[in-house]
Amino acid sequence: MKNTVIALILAALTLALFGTTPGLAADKPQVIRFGQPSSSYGKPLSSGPMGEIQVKDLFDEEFKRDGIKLEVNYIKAAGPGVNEALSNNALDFGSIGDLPAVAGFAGGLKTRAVAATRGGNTYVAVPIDSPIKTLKDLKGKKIGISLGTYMHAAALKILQDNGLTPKDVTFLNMDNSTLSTALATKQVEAGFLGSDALTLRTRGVARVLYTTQGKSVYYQNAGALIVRESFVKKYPDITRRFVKVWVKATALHSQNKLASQKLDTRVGTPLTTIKEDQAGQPIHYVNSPKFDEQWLSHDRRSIALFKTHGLIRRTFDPERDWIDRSFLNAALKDLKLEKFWPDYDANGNPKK
Amino acid sequence: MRLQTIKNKLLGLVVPILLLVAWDFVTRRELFSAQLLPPPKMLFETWWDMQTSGELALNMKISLLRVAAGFSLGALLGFSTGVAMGTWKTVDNYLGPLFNGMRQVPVVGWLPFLVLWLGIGETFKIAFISLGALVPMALKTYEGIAAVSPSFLEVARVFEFGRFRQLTRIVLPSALPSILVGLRLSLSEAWMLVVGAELVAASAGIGNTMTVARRLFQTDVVLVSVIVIALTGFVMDKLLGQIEGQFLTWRKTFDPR
Repeated sequence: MKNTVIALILAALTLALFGTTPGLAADKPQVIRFGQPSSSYGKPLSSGPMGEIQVKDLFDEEFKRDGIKLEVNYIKAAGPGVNEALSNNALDFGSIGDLPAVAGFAGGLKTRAVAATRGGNTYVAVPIDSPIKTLKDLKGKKIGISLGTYMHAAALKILQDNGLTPKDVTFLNMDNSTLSTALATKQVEAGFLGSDALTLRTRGVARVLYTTQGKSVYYQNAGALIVRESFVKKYPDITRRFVKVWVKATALHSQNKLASQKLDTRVGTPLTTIKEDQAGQPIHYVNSPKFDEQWLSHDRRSIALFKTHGLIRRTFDPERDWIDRSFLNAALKDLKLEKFWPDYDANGNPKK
Repeated sequence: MRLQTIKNKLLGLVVPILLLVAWDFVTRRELFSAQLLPPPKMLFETWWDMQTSGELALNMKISLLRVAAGFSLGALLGFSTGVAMGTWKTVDNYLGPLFNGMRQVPVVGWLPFLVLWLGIGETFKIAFISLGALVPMALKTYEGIAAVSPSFLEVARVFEFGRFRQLTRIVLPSALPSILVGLRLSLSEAWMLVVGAELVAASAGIGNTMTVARRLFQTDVVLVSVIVIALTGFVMDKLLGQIEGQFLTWRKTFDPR
């Protein structure tokens, strides 16, 4: 009996000395809740950095000793849905596209952008036998789109280049999987969607009228890893460590293009689709977490555009008001990755 | 008497005003974030912006036109169904069970098939609204006719009224209170369903304003839309209530609301 008590006390002391990180138990959450748009294929798996984290157990490597678990939520309502979940504290981190991240912040959602994300093309698809020949023909047409996502942002830019505004077309809000069906059954006359368009083309139900693939990076997505401000304030150290895990995963995802693309097929996207979508773009660029000139100029231009079209009602400067670089910089330094990604200029070319 | 009526009406304002005060209080204390519960002042400004830009009026016009079309069609069909089932026993025997079975299905339950059959355009929206408007109208017309006093019909027989005259002179006038109740229920159903139909797929209308605002994290616009929808529904119901009162002045017990 006495021995048992001594053993227990010793065990408790050992645990207290070596078992936990400095600080009180209340200084850490039990679980970190991460949210991202669900893929059209419906599998509860991630691609990109979060895919690396899942496949290589990077989260547990960092947080297992604290007993903190990772919960990844796949939100069918995409970026706008992630915003809603962040606003009622159902999520801590989110990885979303440029328009939802900006609209959330402009709408008063208290977030911090802690790492950049980019890449993500938009495609304009039409039913296979559609008479639509050019983007100008979209005038007056019924177009399916997932409003409030990065594709909505790209749509504004694409329409504008062709002398059209969203008022010249009829946008019908639907998620990407509904849109795929709607194109196949011809309930819409066109759709703005992601690389799913390529899969639809392979299936022979749609034709790709236009793609941002190979065009200026301004037409692509420039999203962010965002975190609730209240989470950062409560758990600054946990935030720093989570960003470190994220940056590590991002570096792993930037090493070998084919290996990364193969990993990304785990969500259900065919390899051919991913290859075509990322053709001609260095994997370093697609994954760089840096808030470099490319990302900042993209965000600033987009914010001005969103304001013009009434998608947001107040503007802000991302650098001054929103981004917190401290976590990213610490992670890059910790992991000795400061030179791993080049800084890209406004056109997406590496700066000398 | 008149003073009492005004007093009663004012009582209906007490709870909304108390709610408004409480709402203002919790938002001033920032107990909730402005996104979860926008402060009343912010809502007023948002409403003003939407009003002055003409955006609100345009979308309301589109929604109201849809309601007008769906409600007229649905109420007319409902009225005819109700009259047919109420007047002819054979029709009632044939259609009664089917109608009573079908009306157990909430209108939103028809959504998947309506979308499948009619797509997501105007036809779908109007069909959806009229389906909802049809049911209460048919039901109340039927009930009204079923409740016509046998002694009235006796009189009709004495005067040797034909079927048509019996219907127009005796049956419908005495079923009128119930029919008008059906009309009111039918209109409020139509108004609720237009918002539902627009939430499914639309490019304009107040329901669409809500969808777009929700996607762009403009919670204040969503809430303003909800309030506008509520007030519009309330006003439409009141107006129909007034019309009802005009029709039924002969009824001593009727208390126009």
